[in-house]
Amino acid sequence: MSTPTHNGYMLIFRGTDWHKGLSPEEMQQVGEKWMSWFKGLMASGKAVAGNPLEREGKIVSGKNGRVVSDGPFAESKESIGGYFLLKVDTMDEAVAIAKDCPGLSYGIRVEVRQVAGECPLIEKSREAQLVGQA
Amino acid sequence: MGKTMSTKNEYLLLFSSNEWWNKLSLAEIQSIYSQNKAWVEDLVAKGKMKGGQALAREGATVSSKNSRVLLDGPFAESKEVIGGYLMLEAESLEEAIAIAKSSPSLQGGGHIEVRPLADECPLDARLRQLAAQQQLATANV
Repeated sequence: MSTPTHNGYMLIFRGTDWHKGLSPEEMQQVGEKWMSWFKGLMASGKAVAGNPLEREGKIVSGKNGRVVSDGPFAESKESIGGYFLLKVDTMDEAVAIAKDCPGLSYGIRVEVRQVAGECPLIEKSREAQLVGQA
Repeated sequence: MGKTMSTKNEYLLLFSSNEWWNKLSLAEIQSIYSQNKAWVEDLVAKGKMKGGQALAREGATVSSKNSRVLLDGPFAESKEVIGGYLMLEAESLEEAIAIAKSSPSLQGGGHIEVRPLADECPLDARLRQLAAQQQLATANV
C-alpha cells in the first residue's frame, strides 16, 4: 500500500449532510478550518486542485446512457461532496492528510484513491492538441 | 474553495464500475478501447476536455467514530468503485450529461456520475441562506 508513485492521489469526500444541525458559528468555524487546511496543502504543493461539487447532477447508465437518474446528492452518506487532488508520493501520506479533514468528526468519510497514471489516451490526445497549436 | 478561476462551466464525470471488462472478450475490449480513444480525442479537439485520470482499484476510507479515526480498505470484490474521472468544460449540465451518455464505456456496464463544480463552499452557501432567512424574519417583525 505504500509503493511510491509519481501519479498522486485523489481524496473523495463523501457525505453531504454532515453540516446539518451545526450552528452558524460552528459552520463558520469548520468552514474556516477547511479553507486553511486546503490552502496549506496547496501552498506546500501537496495538493494541486480541489473543489466542492454542486448538490445536483445525474447518474447515467445503460447502453447509450439511456438510463438517467437523479443521484442521492442531498441526503446520502455516500454522496460525493467534493474532492482534492494530491501530489504526495505514498498512500500513507495521502491517508495522513485525509485524517486531518475537519469534517471527519461530523461524519464525513474520506475515500483515498491512488491515481493509476494518466490515461494514455488523454495524454496522447493532449500532446496532439499542443502540436496542433504550435 | 480558493480557486481563482470561475467553475461555472466545469463538470466532473465520475466513472464507476465493477471492472466489467473482465467479462469481455479481447476483441470486445479492444473495440471499446478504440471507441473510447476516439471519444476522448473528439472532446479534446472541441476544447471540452480539461483533464482526467484513471484511479487504481485499491483504496482506503478514512472516517471517524467516537472520536477515533478509522481506516477501512480495500473495497469488497463486487463493489462498484470509481475507476476514473474526467473534467469537462460544457455550456450546461444538459450538455455534460449528453457527453456522458455518449461514452463508449457504458456499453460494458457501470455508470457515470455527472456533477457541476461548485463555486462556493457549501458551508458558505448555507450560511448565506440562514442569514437571508434571519433578515427576512426580523424584517417581518
